Amino acid sequence: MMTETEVILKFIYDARYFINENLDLDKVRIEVPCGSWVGSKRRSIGDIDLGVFPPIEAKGTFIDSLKDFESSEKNLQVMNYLYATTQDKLSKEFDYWSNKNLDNVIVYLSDVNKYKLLKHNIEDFDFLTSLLGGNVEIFRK
Amino acid sequence: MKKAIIYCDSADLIINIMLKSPKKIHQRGTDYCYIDKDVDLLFKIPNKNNPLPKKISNQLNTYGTMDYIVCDEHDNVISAIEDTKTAPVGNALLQRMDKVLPLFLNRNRKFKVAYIAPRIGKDDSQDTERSVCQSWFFQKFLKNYGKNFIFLEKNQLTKENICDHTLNLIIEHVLSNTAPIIPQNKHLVEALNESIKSVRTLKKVGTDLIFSGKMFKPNNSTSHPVHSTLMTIIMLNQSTGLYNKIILETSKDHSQLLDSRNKNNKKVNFIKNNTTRRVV
Repeated sequence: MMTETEVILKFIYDARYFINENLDLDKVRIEVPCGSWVGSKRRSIGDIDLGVFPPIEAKGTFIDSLKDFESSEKNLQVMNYLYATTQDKLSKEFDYWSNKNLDNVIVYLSDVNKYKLLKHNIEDFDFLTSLLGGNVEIFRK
Repeated sequence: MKKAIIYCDSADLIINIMLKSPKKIHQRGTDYCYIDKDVDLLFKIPNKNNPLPKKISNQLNTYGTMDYIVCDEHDNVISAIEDTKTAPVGNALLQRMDKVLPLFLNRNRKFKVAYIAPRIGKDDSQDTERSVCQSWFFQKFLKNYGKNFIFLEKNQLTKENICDHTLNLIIEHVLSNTAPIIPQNKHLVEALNESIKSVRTLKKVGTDLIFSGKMFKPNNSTSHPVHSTLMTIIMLNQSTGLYNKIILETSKDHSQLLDSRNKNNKKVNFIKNNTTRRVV
């Protein structure tokens, strides 16, 4: 199982060339909870804010994402989730997200080093594909 | 090429390298390494499953985890670095010293210690722009140790940010063989004497110092600036042995609050263990 910190770092690592070459780094904001960090978030939404794409809330696992999504107290404006999972769990997790009011659910498959979209907004697909260097596919059941 | 392991309490530096120098960072398991012409730096973020090795934590006696602990391949600490994007002006300066000062004052220390921050910043309590140099603690102590307490001018932070400077400092520490700087007694004495003039709640009575600052706010929450100021004074006195004891003059209520604070709070324990209480 990956931690939230590991998921964020892996995502930014995989997106680093695109961000470096195409985005204004002064507008990129990334919040990583790690080490002895126990403070509250400085911003109310999204751990990964690239400036040109609605912020993405990152979690370590499906369960953490689900808890966050179902919490009535926080992250009400989050429309994009990112977390890590494995191929064998995709179908069940796809079923959970399918009828939820979200734009994109991006999962990193730690067993095959690939990204899948369990839910996607068609207008965002090209951006996410470019961001992750083509290593992302739409999950189909 | 020199190799080093950097144990990070913050991911800001790793993210900064990924975004600004994507060709120089590589994944190694769940860790990331920065490889440039002279150095191979492996960045690790300790967590519950992979905590900071005991051998390293034993070398660090401090009241918080430094942002970057630079080690050789055998987990010998080369340097400990704390960085911040916000200038520590006003009360913030001594508060930021909680982690750094215990390490810096340790005369048996075998590794370098550095604190890096902007020199100019906004003092929220006064809504004005101030400089770190206005602080008595900077003027009487920190300014003598420019290699350890690095305060960057605005023009140094236009093209490069704090993380860029921190990375350069880590590389400098890994490549250099110079001995760590240990503070001189005369500077410690000067700082302690200045504290008596500058801290209005501190006075000298015979061979003792009496501190009467309010340790808690009216709502009973901890007054961190007061705790940090007292902690600094205690540490300066421990290093110099100038005064016999430090008496903490406090109300009965505040004395009880101090005793009831979390027993795992290292700073509170340090204050409790190193002062003589006088309830007034």
